[in-house]
Order: sequence, then C-alpha cells, then structure tokens
Amino acid sequence: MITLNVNGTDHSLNIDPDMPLLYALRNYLQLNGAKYGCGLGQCGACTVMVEGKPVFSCLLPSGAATGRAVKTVEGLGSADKPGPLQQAFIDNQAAQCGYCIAGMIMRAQALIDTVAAPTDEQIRTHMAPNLCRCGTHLRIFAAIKATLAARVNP
Amino acid sequence: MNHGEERVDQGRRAFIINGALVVGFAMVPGAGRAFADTEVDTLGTQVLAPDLPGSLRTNPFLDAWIRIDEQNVITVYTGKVELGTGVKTALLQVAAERLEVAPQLIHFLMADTALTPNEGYTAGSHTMFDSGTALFNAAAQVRQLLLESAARQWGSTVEQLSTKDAVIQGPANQSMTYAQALVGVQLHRYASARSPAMAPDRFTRIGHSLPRVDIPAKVSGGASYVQDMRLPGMLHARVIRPPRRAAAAGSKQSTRPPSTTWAAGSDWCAMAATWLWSPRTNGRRSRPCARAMNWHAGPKGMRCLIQAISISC
Repeated sequence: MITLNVNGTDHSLNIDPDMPLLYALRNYLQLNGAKYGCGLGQCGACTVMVEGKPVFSCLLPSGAATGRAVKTVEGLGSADKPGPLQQAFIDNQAAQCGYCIAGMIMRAQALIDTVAAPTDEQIRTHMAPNLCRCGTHLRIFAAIKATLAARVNP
Repeated sequence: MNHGEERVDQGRRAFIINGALVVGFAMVPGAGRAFADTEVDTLGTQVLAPDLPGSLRTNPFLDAWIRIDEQNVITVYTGKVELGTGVKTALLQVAAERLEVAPQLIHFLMADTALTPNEGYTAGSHTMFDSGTALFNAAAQVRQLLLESAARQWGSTVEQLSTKDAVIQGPANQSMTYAQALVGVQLHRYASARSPAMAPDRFTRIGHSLPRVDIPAKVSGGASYVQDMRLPGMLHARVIRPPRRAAAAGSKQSTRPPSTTWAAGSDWCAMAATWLWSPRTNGRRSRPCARAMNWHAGPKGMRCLIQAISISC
C-alpha cells in the first residue's frame, strides 16, 4: 500500500511500488492526461510534475513518488475552466493530434513556475526532451510565450 | 563481361511485335449499375447508390446522417474518426453551412459503430471527400425538405422562406422550428443525386476558421483517445511475437503458465491482465508466455516484437 498525492489529494493505492507512476495515474486514478508513448523516457508524452519538476512518469516508480506532490495536466484546469497555459494552447490551436500536448504543457508549466522571464533559447532547451511528431512546435512555443507575456502584462 | 543479353529493345516496332494491348469497355451501358450492390469501394464499404455523391453512395439514407428530435436538437453523424487532422471541426462546418445553423446547435456524433454510418477506414485523405461531400449534400437536402414542408403548411413558396438558428421564417412573420417542420417529413429516404445549389460566396462556415472543437479536451486530460476508453471488465493484453523471423512455436501446452488468461497462435502469444502494467505481463520483467511458446529458432536477424493491445472480455 502506498500513498500518492496527486493534484493536491492523497490516494492510498494497493499497488506494487515498482509500478511506474504513469500506470498508477492512468489505471488506478483514471487520469487521462499523462500518456503512454514510448515507455522508455524518450518521448515525453507521459511528463508530469513531481515537486515542481518535470519527470517521465513512465520511468518513475510509484514508490519514489510517495510523499511528493504530483501534478498532472488535470491539476491545471478543465476543458470548461482551463488554466492560463491551457488557454494559451487553445488560443494558439497548439495541437494537431494532441497526444504529446499534456506532456508538453506539464514540462512548460514547470519552466513557467520556476523561471521569471526565460529567454527563447531557454524555452527551446527546456522543451527539447518532449517530442511532437505532428510538428506543432512553433504553436507550442507561441503558447508558452503568450502565457509568459500575459504574466508580465496581465 | 557481356551485358548484351540484358539489353531490352524498347523500340515501337519491337513492342508491337512482342507486346499486347488490352482495352476493356462495357457492352451494355449501365451494366455497372446493375451490379452496384455487389461493388465494394476502396474503403471496404458496400456501394448501394452509385449515382449519389460522396459517402451517400454507401450510406444513402438521409437519416443516417441527420436527425432532429422534438426539442429541435440536430444530431449529425459521421462514420469517420478524428485522428488529429481536425476533421471533426471541418465536417461540423460543412453540416452547419448546409443546414444553415450555428455549429453550436449541432450535436455531432462521430464513429459510434452502433449509431453512425459505416464509412470504412478513416484513411487516404478520404474524409472530406467522402464524408464531407455526403454531409454537404444530405444537410442541404434535409433543409430543403423542411422548407418544402413549411411552405406546404403556410401555403407559400419555398423562395419566400428563410431560416435562422434552426427556425424557419415565413412571409407573414410566421415561424416554426426545424422539428415542427419535420412533422410529416420522412427522412428515412434515399438522398437525391442533386442538391439545392449554394454559391460559394454565400458560405459563412466553409472556408472560414473555426477553432478546433477537440482541443479543449486534449489540453485538459479529457477522454480523447482509444487508450482513454475504460469498458466494464476490460483486460489489457500484451502480444508477443517470435524472437526471429520464421520462428515457430514448440510444445507450448506443456509449459503454459497455469491459471492465466492466455491465448496463442502458431507464431504469437498473448497474456491478458486487468492493467497494461503488471509484473505478470510486463515485457521487460518476465515473459512467461513467450517462454511457454518454446520458440523453434528461425533465421537470425529479427528483433522480438512486443506489441500491446487492448481487448474487451
């Protein structure tokens, strides 16, 4: 039995602590945000935030996430009430198939939360681990920039 | 080295002497139509009405595409799926354009095998060409039938009527909803080959940008993908294929793991579990099912392919 704190709520789960966090989130907590992509930490579709840092949830054992705050894209807002970064992704139509987008948003959110005014280069470097095969990168970049600009000039 | 024998004479004379030209044509005009219901189109669906446009050829009934309930809620159906190309939004634009209603008034239902027309695969850039064309025509024909119904009831002509937000307006300021006009109209009928014309410069939805309707769910963890389906009693299976090309299963029954949900063919096996990840089925930790297959080695050079699929039990 392990306890996971996800989006501010504690959940006691009777699972193998070796089970990757992704499977605990998707299968036991029924959260659709984090996606199974490669299962090898190479694509970033499974990215969530743990203690404010972006991590590949397909690699992190659930046991290693106990006692640490896990945040998924569901924790940023809903389709009806999207958070600022989610709204910027909608405004910029920053999704084609959208499979990578929840991971993209979580990685971007980690940057936005920790760096006041990142440079374009910092954004690119920070986002590099997450892949988008559709080629939505420029729209994703625009959405991140828009969120940062709105924070400076609300 | 002698390359002389490999030389091919591509001259016209040589072709006429050695070649053959076959030209086919139908002796009886319309023979193709007589065999229409035996024709299967490229997407694997049966052609029932070869003269109709788009997917109306395979799904000719108007009510396969558009239904209107008593509350004037319009439901539009398509057999194509949204794979991230934006067709859900684009098809909605087409239907809204020809029904002449706001897209928000349409309940758009996509690829539910129990409810929507069977349009075969969503592939090959066919969606707008097939489903879009069907909706373009079916929506216009349904609207026309409703206008004709209203004109009959009011003793006016169709030309005197206009529509706005699924409400028909008459020449003496009368109005009735699409649902009211539908009384006495049978939508379970074949579409016509011709639809009311609409000049492209009158388009207000087609060719105009509409934000993608699927994106809000995709940025917030909504159920958007087949992986997000959770059916009662659903198991996840991991399929294991041979470690090498042409490898074949050996005495698999003897070492089969007991009391497992297990299936096997001559060159594959699968184990099912409640969740995709479990120590039992996790490919990297243990492969009892693969071991049970006791592969006879084939030629070297092919990696073991492990694929995960979901099955419903």
